Amino acid sequence: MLYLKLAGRNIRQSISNFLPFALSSVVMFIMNLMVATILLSPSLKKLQGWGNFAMLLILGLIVLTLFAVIFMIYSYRFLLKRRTKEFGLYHILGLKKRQIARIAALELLMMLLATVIAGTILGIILAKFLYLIFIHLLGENYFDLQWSPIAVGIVTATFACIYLLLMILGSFSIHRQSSLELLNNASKGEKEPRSRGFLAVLGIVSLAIGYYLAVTVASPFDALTKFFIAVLFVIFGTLLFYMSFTIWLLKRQKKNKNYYYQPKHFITVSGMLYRMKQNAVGLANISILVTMTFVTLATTVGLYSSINGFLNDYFVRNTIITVNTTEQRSSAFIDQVAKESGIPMKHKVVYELSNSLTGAMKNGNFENRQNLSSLTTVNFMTAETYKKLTGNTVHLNSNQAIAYPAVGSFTESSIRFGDQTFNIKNKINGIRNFPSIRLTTANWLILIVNSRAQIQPVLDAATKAAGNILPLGFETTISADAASKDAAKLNKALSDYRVDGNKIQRLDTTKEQALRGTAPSLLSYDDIHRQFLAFAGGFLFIGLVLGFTFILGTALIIYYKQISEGEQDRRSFKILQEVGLSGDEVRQTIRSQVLLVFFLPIVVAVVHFGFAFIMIQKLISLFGTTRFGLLLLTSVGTIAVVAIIYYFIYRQTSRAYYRIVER
Amino acid sequence: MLLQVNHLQKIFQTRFSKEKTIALQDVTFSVDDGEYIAIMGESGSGKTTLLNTLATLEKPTSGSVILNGRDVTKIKENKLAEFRRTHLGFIFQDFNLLDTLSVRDNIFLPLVLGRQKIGVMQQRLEELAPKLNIADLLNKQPFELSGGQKQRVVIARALITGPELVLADEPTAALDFRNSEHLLSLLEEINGTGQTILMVTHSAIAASHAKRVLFIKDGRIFHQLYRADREAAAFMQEISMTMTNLLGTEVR
Repeated sequence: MLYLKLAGRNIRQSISNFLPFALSSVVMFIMNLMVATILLSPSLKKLQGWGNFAMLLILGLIVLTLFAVIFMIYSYRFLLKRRTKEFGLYHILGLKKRQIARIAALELLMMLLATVIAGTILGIILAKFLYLIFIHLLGENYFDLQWSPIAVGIVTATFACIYLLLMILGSFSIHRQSSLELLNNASKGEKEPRSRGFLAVLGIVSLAIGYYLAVTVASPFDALTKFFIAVLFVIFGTLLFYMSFTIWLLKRQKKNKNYYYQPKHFITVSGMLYRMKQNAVGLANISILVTMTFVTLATTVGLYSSINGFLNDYFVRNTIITVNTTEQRSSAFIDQVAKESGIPMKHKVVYELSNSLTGAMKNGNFENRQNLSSLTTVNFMTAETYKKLTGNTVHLNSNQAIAYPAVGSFTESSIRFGDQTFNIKNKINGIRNFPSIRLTTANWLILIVNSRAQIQPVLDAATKAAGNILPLGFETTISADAASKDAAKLNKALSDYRVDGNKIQRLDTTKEQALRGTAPSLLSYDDIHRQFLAFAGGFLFIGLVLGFTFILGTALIIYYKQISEGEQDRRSFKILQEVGLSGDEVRQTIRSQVLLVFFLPIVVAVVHFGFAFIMIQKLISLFGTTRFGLLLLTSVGTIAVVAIIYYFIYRQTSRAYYRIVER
Repeated sequence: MLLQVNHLQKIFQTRFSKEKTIALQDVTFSVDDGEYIAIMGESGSGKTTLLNTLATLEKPTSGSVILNGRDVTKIKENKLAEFRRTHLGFIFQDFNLLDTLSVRDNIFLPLVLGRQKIGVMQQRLEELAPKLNIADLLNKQPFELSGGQKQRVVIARALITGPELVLADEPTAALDFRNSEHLLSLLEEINGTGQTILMVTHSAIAASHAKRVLFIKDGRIFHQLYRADREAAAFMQEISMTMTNLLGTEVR
């Protein structure tokens, strides 16, 4: 009971020491809680591709937890260092070390309790607040950020473990020191860090591996599996980079006497070098959080803003009907159904394609098996259809084809399907009135060939490979402009029919009957647009929540850095002023120090992001094809916005620093 | 005459109360070139305020401090740092060494701030280091040094600019007896080379090494003693007697 009293009194009395620690604890808790809440939200399962997304969130949660561990240890050691004198006094007054350790542990327990309560309440308020704001910004979306007791439970358990670790660390450091050391520790200096070439190399190698993994991602699925490993490498590399490379750089500057012995550099370089060990962790954390903010926001904003683009590319007309039979039959059939229903269809575009062959494409060899990393869909188009669409006549031999790689790239000079080979006569970049994207994920290749007969063997082989369920043949796509209401009506009418290669049959609604074949499909721009907006809006919402959370974390770390350094620097700047540094010069020095610390993480984060860009592109293409230019534009915009917010945070927290230093 | 202090007055008034604290009432004295002066007084006697005023760290309420014909109380705020750097040397009781700098760089600090060339800095240090017996400490960090070593480094930092006046604030307060003795004789030696020193202290032992002792109480100079050719020990006795009699307090 006495210990409890002592512990409580300690916290109340040295609240200024405890406050930064409590703040970091609560913000870390909120960050973890937000991600866990999104992860466990029931609305998540409504998102297309939520499985992949959940994986990313779990990854984010792991990274954040790692962060929390590093950062909590850092801030606890900072707290301990400032309180060693107090502990030393207790020891001299007659408390055993075991008892002091118990007091320290009790203090931590109280902090944990406060963190969980404050973190949960603030987390819920923040979640609701963000939800309301973004609902206003984005309009209705179905992603509801619900409070989840399981999320709170998980995060609480994680933090309990972190605090346990802190307790162990605390009692360790208390036991290790004699009382005199405890008394003197607060004013103890630290040796200048050594530059360790080994760590520098390790850091750069680690970064290189991470970057390499990120750059060599071949497909969206690949991106997901490699993502985690790449991220871990990059985080590790970043930390080592700051710990070794920056020290090496500063040491080099110090060796250059003409540079070092100038008033501005003298204080900056020596100060940075002196605290680079602590700085490294802080700067690495900032860099990674800023990178995470960039990546999250750029991905979700990019996804959201690409929607219109890729829908426009897909919808040649606002309504697209696909019927699984030849052009002649399909066209007549649709005209008839439209006429019966009294629906006018304008600007009709009709073309015929072979059924899709989906398989693995490697070095110009197409195989009928599903390999995720090289998944490609191939459709054949006859020269006749091509002429109808474009008005261009092409002359092709029986073993020649024209390639149109609509999605992905194709550079081979020939393509082989089993024992049939087509030589690529030339490549084209587009076909008039023909979509330039597919709504599914794979690469898409259109091959223009001379006649249907030529490719029938290829289609037959594919049919066999798929298990002879439906014979592959030709399908017809009819694009037209129709009113949204009419399109829905037509869709309903069409759903009564089944098409099986040659026959078009109408379902008899009076009796149970199974007909072979598939229903003609009808996609309307408005429907798809609404669907896309809904799920992309959900993503955007999550992205904004996460982005906001990460920025909050960044702000916290920067603030923490500023005040802890302010406390350390206060004495230095006082001495400097006494020895002969004017107030203006002090301000100048501080500014140059602050600017360096401001720019370094942004630069590192932008470099990280540059390498993550390819991965982001692949990830977005999970949901539809991306446009490089647009994505680049939104990314640059996002980075600019985040950088401005970051700068604003820095300016605000710098004031805290000035206040401490100048008082 | 190097330093002339005329009718110095310093009144502290907190912003929210009307209560005034008079730290210095009417202090007048002068210091000749090459003198070694100790200003003695109890805690709260105003001696630190006096030193801070001389050091231009505080502005007096009235009166003037003239160093080599220049009134330092009239120097503009933004020129003060430069003035301190070039004309004054400081020895603090708690050393005030920067942890972030090595011993050498700590000593260089005022010169670096004054944008001196490295060659000049190194040359001056080479001359100074053996005298202060710190030549083999130069590459260490301040936290690796003992109190006595630190104080010698501080002296080096104070002397490296070749100041007109060295101001010492209780330089022996944080040192043990042996190191104090050592330091005091070192200061005496430095004074022997012609360096003017003004020291503030409440220790009779420290004061006994000076050439002249000024006694300060309640913001006024009460009395002064000259050492003349006496031994430090004999001088100290007289200082102790004076403290006891004149100020009516026990000497610690």
